[in-house]
Amino acid sequence: MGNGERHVLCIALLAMAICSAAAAQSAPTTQPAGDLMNLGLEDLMTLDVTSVSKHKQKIAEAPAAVSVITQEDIQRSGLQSIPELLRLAPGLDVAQIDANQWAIGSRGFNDLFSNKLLVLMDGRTLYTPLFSGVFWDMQDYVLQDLDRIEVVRGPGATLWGANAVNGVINIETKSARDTQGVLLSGIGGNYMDSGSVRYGGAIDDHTWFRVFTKYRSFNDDPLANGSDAHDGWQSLLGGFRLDHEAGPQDNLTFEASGYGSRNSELLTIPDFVPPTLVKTQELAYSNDEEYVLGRWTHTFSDTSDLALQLYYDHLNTVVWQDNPYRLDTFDIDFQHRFAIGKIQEITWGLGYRFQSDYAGFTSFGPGVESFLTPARRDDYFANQFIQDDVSLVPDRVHVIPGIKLEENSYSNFETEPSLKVLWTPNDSNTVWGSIARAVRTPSRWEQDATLAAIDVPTPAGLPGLVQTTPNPHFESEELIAYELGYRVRPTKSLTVDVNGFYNHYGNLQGFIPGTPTIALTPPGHLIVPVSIGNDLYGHSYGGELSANWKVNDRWRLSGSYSLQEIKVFHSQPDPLGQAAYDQGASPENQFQIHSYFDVMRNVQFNASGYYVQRLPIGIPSYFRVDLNVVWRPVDNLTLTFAVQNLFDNHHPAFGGFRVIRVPSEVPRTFYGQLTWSF
Amino acid sequence: MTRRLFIAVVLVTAFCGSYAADAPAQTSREYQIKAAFIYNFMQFVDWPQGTFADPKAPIIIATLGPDPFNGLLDVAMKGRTVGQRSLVVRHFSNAADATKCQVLFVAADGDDQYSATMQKLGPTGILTVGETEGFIQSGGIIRFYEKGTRLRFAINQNAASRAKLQIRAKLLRLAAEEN
Repeated sequence: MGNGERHVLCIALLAMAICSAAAAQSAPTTQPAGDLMNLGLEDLMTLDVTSVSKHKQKIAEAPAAVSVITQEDIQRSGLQSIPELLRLAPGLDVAQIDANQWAIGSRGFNDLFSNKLLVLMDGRTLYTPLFSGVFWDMQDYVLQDLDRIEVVRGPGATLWGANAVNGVINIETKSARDTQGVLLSGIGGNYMDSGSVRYGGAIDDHTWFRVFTKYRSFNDDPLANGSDAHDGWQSLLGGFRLDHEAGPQDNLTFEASGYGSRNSELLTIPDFVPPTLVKTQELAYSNDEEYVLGRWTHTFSDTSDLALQLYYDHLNTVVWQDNPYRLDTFDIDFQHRFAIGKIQEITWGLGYRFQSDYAGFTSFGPGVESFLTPARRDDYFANQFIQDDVSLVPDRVHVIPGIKLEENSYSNFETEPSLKVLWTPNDSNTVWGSIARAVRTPSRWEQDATLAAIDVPTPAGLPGLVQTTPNPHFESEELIAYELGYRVRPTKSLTVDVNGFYNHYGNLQGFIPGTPTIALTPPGHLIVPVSIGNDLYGHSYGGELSANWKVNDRWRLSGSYSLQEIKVFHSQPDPLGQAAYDQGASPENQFQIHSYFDVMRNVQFNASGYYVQRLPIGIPSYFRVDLNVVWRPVDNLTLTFAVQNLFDNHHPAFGGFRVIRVPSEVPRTFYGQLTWSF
Repeated sequence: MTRRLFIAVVLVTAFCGSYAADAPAQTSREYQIKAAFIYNFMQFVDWPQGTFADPKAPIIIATLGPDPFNGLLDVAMKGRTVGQRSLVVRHFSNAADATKCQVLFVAADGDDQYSATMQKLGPTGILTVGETEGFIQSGGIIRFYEKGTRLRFAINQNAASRAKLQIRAKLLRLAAEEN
């Protein structure tokens, strides 16, 4: 079957799925509201009226390590970008590399090119097939219009798909219905200035829209010696969202957005000139990304609904050193939930993604004549999943088996099963356990890229240049994860969530050495070829403990502690120390504490502290304190003054051999913010 | 081979999806939740003396105008009690009948008739529950509204005392908490 036929087949299957789901609607039967009637007022007030998709489940009932960053958390934290906001989630490692680069990982394996995390925004994947990671600097929004950020630690592969190995991050923006009116927000600070404008209006009683734009400008961060890192940048975002309620059961959403930025970086490039053997060069480049997205949701009943979503996304950036990279993504997703009898609830879905990319080659480092071969590649990812939620004891014991089947042009066929068990002995206690398999499918660079930018010392005394050879047979990385969790609400004002995990990894990416050759072009150096292989394996264990305590009407405390211990082994020689890097780039211990206090009815004082233990790759531990004061002189005007990283002039947060961009340090920052809405 | 397997599984799931979806009721989740709220409200309201003929007389819950619950209210309240009282659901199309109940739900669609109804009701011990913006202003007692994706309710205490209804503190507090 050719590629074209395959596309047609997939679309036909989707059409069929939609028809079958729509047909289900035409056979109405009356169904009691059932369990809802037994809920008290407080519980009813926590229910979502539109409980539609796989990610709208009530958190207290989710059989996974889930936490939610709410709009209130966003506002009170004082953090000002999406990657920075992820600090609030327990179990995530968030390390700023320089002014515009972040390493963000879940349960270990952190890197600029973190590849075991699935990140979505309003259902659109932010995953780049080039390195299976996220361009964090390019993810922006008018922060006041974010609804929530859901963070799932651990595998979510059955529902969410490949790459959801160690975690899923799902960023959701508010419905246009909830962002009516004008919002003006301006920030002035020593490292950042920003301005946002949003206007939300109603077209009729059932249709709402918003248009928005946001500009950001970041100054250069300091290097360790205090000098400028030349990594300042500016970005501009513009977008639109429309929500239409076609009836009590149908919702339509349409989004379109464009983002552009101008970044600069310091790169280290091998030149073999002693004593450093590298030169530092400044690189300036532009990024842009545009997308359009449409989604239709239909609710049949409390236990049945469907969602259909389509989007197209275009990305334009530079990668590795300064190679231009373009990516077009077309994606269609369908999911349907229905009940069989009284005890089974099935969720199933289909998805198809087509991606086409192109990489240019302008690398100014020595020793490489190409970057990606082929320069242009078309790929597809087709998946289907089914999950059956069986309530063995109504409201008390659920057993949830599920499986996802995926076919893609990188690794052919993948199977990702899971089994979850949920026990809620009463309203305030939840115990859950889960066993799941997840895979991280090969990324483009592993199968197609030739890279050479890493200099290593060699025994011969000559400087060495590592050149990676792509491996078209590189396979998926695999995980079997075992998790156990307990959630308790001992009193109405306190919730505690604790969970533990044991992960077993196989087929992890490593570098296998080849025979070195001597390059005679002066200055003479050794070329050390390494091929990319699945030769590493390992395991990790750890857990997260988080608590939220509403001390009184004016004061809330929340905090979390995360532990992770990772062991990675190599079955072949490991010349670049990839195994040690995998072990050493994530902190073993982290904790954070937040105090949100209402000094007066219209004055808030918010404080946060974050402790991150040393990274064995050479980053000392640090404790970061952020404070802010928020004053609302009148209802629609908010003034904020914030300081971040209070007790430290600047500290490093990340570094490592795969970071060819020179890491800078995280400085102390101040800013003032004025927000006016009417 | 794997591709054929993949496609076969897709087909099987698609068919299961179309034939096994046995219980898609026509009542939206919003009204299912509203029904549960109404049931809860009754636990926190005391009707004036003389409202009921005897201690076991049922509470009559009525809708006015097109029934947004699609019959769900009847099913949901069946067999349930508030104290010793059983619950009876009636549907009125005529505003003039609307005095023959203790709880009256006025749907958004039935609101045109509402101002007329309000004047007829007077202080007769009827807990009025509505969902339109002007409901409280025109003398209604409890109004649903949405905050984000969740339901909230507001209480008009003046209207409650005019109707001689005692609303207990907990309900008032939950309503106030969100304002």
